[in-house]
Amino acid sequence: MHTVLHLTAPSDERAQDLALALRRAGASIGKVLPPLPGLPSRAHGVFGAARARALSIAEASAGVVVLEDEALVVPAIGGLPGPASARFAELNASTMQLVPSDLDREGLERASRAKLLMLIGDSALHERAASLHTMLVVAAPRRVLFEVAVACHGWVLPSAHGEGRAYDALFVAQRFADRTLAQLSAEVRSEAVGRRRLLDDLVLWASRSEVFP
Amino acid sequence: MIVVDGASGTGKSTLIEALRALGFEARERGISSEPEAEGEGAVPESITDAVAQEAYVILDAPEEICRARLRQAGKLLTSSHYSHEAIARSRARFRQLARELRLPLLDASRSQAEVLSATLELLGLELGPLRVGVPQGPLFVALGRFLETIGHPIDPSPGKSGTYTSPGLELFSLPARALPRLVALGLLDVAFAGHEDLVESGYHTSLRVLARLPIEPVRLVAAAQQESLLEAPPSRLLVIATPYPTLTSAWASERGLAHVCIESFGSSLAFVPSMAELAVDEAAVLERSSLHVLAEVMSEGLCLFGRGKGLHHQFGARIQAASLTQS
Repeated sequence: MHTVLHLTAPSDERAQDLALALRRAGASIGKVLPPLPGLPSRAHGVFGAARARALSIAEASAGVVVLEDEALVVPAIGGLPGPASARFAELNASTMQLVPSDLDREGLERASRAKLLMLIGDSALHERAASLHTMLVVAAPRRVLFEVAVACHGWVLPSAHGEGRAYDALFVAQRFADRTLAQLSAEVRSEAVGRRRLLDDLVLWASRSEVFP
Repeated sequence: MIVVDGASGTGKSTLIEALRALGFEARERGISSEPEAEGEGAVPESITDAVAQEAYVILDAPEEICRARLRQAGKLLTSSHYSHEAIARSRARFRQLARELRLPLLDASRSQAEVLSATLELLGLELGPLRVGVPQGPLFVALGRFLETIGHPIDPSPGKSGTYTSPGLELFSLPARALPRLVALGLLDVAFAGHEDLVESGYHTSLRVLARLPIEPVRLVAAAQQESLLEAPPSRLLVIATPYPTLTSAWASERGLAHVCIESFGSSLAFVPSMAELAVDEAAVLERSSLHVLAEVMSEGLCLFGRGKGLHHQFGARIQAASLTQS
């Protein structure tokens, strides 16, 4: 049915991880695309934005795309960074438009973390609730074939602890309350945010899907 | 809902009839087919918005074939709507629509059976009975009575693999908490479960609720010893005891309350106030206790949810209509 399979994930490591899981299900990967920036559309919400991104990549590539996306939602600041998590530093919150900068990926992540901390300010711990949403979408042109999502609830610390991608050094998951995601091993992090379950579901679905001959 | 469009004579009505006979919900759009909508110009936003929400099929066939079919259907070809030019204009309009919406055109010059088969393939829909998940236990009995009222009596003798049948349906009686995952994985088309079980499963964001039933309503509330706990929470993490940690965490996070959940397995009262400040559990339990009920977290009955084929099947609409009547 479909023969070209593209992958995109929040980081190269996770894209490789995703490719490994899909190969276990018998899929052959055509191309691993570089991590793409999130859409700033609030109307879509974090799930709708992931879906929209997967559909637009599938249409542009005329093939099947497997997309992993991640978004941090902080209710105290109106649900931001939300769908714009990956490029939060470039987001004009009043117009909800991205203002592209010259920052490289690491610089953008650093600036996004700093912006998040600045907006949350010195709120007490109980007001720093946040949830990290991980989404997996498989889409063909104009059609979502499979999608699963998981929310990991926790809170944002006032300063970074550990070295990690995106907001990992700031976010603490409820189940691992004594350290940030950046201080967990990749495997434990995957378990903590629920990504492990999503990958298991993807493999289960892919192994009986005719999309991956 | 499957929406079928195309110029006059492409076979829209025939295809819709065939899809309905298979149990799917299908209709014509009826707006873009009107002569005044034909011609050049950008696709109206009303159509692009609608198309994003539905399964849209555009039929395409040469003008001569369309006119031959119209003649066979007893239409007067002298009518201005059915002239070669009018059909050519309409066809060009739909071709433009397909280009702009990046939709494939379905070749409708083939036989009815071939067009139906191509439509099902295009939409990724399989033939065969709708696979319906039903919770085990007393709910299975209650649902059986409900389904009977809408013309879906369940054959009481289970099949070899523990499945039950009803006209056009194959029913799988399984634990309620397993059902959302089975639908998400595509092993079932739709399933019934308590809304609390659907949200607790974590799969609710990737599934669509098709109907809410007036069966087994569950009311979940948050209760605490301290009456002002939600307005003036302690300046540390709030500890919540609940048998529904996923659902409760989503509720507390939305309220901006950083918290930790203790899974209480139905004994939330045992944890409050010594180990937890707040309990989220069934109202019937917490309202009988000495705790103050501070907020309603959820009040829902059984729901029908689905994905894929389940979203285009008449079953969901039929259940929703019957639910509205009975409630």
